[in-house]
Amino acid sequence: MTKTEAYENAAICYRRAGYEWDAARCYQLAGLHRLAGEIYESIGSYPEAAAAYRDARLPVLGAWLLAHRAGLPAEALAMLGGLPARPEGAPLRHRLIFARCAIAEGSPADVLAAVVAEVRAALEDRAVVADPVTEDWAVAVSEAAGRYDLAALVFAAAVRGGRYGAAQRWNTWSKRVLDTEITLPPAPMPAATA
Amino acid sequence: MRRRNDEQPPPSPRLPGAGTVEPVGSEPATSGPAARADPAPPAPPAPREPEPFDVVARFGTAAGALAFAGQVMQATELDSVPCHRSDAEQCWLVEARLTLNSAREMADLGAGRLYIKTRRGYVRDRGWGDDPGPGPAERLPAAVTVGLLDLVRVAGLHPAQERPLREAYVLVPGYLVAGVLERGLELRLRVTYQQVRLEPLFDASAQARVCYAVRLAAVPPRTELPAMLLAALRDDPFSLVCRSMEQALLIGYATASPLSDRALARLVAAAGDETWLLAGPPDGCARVSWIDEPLDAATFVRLAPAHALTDLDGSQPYAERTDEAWPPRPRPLTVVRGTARTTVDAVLLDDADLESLPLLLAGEPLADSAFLIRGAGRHLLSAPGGLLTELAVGEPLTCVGPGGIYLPVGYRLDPPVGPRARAILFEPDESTAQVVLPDVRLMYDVDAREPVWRLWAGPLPAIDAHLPSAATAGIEEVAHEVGDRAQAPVKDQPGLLSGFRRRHAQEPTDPSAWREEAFKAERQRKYAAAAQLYAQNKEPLRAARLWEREAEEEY
Repeated sequence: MTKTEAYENAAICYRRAGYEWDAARCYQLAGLHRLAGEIYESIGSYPEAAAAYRDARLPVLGAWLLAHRAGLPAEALAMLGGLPARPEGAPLRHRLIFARCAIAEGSPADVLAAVVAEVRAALEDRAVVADPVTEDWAVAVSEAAGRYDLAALVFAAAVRGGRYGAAQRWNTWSKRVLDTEITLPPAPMPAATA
Repeated sequence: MRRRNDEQPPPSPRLPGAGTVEPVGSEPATSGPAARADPAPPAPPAPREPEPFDVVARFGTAAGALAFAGQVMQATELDSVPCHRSDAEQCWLVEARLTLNSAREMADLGAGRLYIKTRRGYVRDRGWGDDPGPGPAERLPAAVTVGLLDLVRVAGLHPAQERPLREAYVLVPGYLVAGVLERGLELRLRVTYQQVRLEPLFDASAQARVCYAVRLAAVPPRTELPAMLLAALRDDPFSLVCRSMEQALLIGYATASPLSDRALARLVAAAGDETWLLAGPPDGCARVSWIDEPLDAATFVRLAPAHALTDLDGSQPYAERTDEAWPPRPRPLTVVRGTARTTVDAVLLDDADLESLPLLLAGEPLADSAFLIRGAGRHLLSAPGGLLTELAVGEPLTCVGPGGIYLPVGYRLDPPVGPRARAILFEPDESTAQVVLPDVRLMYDVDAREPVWRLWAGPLPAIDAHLPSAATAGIEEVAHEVGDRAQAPVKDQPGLLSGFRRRHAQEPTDPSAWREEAFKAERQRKYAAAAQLYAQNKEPLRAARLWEREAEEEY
């Protein structure tokens, strides 16, 4: 029985006993950082989750949690190695985090325009393999900035791009946020648009 | 070729850095420093690069000419440009070699007129197109050559909005130095002073003077000098406040020359000087030479007698006697605050705490398995697998292992020792539990433990055994027949009753026997086996804690 296995067993038992925080702690000691991060995230311990994601070499997920959930934009930027001199050149996920940090620090919602437009273009283009989180993050950033119109545009782009379950997600979001259901026309077949 | 100014020597061959503006008809593209620095380009490839022209810009004001010269110096990376002054027409002329569009932009900046050198002579630029246009050759005003420094002198300094400064120099006479230093030190600035020699800038034959330059610099977290201090010093008629440009230039506070600081610094370097002081009238301009090295302002702070230097006398903690120097020695092990661990494995109680245990534990599932080891005034309450819950009384302890070594929750051993070292130092065995406190180590005999419910659960009521009436009658009948104590009731005969009671006691086995087994495994530090027992018996929390101890105590 190695140390790692013992910690993993401890984590399994802690989960069974309902002690999620201790379970996540033991998973981290066992080196299963991503699992630990998911548990921390599920119980709302976002700073710990971010640290675990960082240890799992998923600093972008960690930075997103810090920026969006924990309300710690400075720490989020630090996890990404600081704001680059030319943020436009950064990957889309990074730019969404930069935008979320800017919103958290009180910037006007205009900072979103460019990055949301890019997310929409990527979602709309059927030739692009969708990054599963950019849609969620773009919606979340728009929502945080109070720009429901931008969120709706993101969903619309996902529906037009034929992203799986996009209409369902849009409807759920609309019911949750706007308290209203939406009716969408049937999606055109890809062949029809070609 | 007609000479414009008869006092001037013949213009060709032109010397480096000197020169006059040449009239129409001089030899094309063979003269002028700009032409030398930037030789005529080869045959232009298509698309055609803009071709540089020899141009002369004419300005009505020295400031305009100076701004143009500054732009040219920046664009051509030259240290100077040829300048001329026409006293007759009250204008300034600056020569340059530039592309037409750049020349137009730069000349327009100072509202200047642009003349382009062509085969026909100098032609007034028409202001658009790739060439100066078909205008007639014009005669340039007669002019004398002047240095750029003359332009700087005539253009003077203009008031400028002063941006925040990180450092500034204050020039003061010696008797005022201490006052300025004191003010700087009071504001927690970095203050140094240095003597300087000032020679008049424009007239080399004038008499030199000396003064002191006090350097004020902001110290983090302050990022700039207090503007109030600078304003107050500027208003003092006996001091001159300057901003500095890489120590090549000292420019009067809140003033600026039309020539950029950087271009002025290049002029200083080109002139071979160390520093120039530029300040508007009545303060005057000078070449500055720095004497000696900057000295710290603290020199002038009056010190108490205790600051006089003393010899090393043995009271200095940093130096030991040569025979006392010794390698690090082991320190007694103790416990200090310093860990975030909060697992409660046991609780240390005193006599008063024991009284409240029944209120806390009676009826709780924990009471069934928890045990108490009584000591002299301090008692240890724990349970197989650990208490794992916080009680409202006593001092919570956490088990750090190996075996039964307990520390107060939130404390760690100091100096830190690993599990292997702990095993050697504490020599834990399965029948003892040790509680390490800052000043003492309590030892308890685990075999002397008693169930905690013994605290409140006393003896049972007396038994009133009830046999079925048929059985009683049968027994009494037999007794009567043998004539033995015929009237004695059955229940008064313990021999008969014991069989009755034993029958019931034999049937169920102890349902908590596995717990004893798990505790035995735990005491033998076979945590994995204990954890599996707890897991099988639906106590995942204890199983988890034991797995954790298995991991922690591995070495």
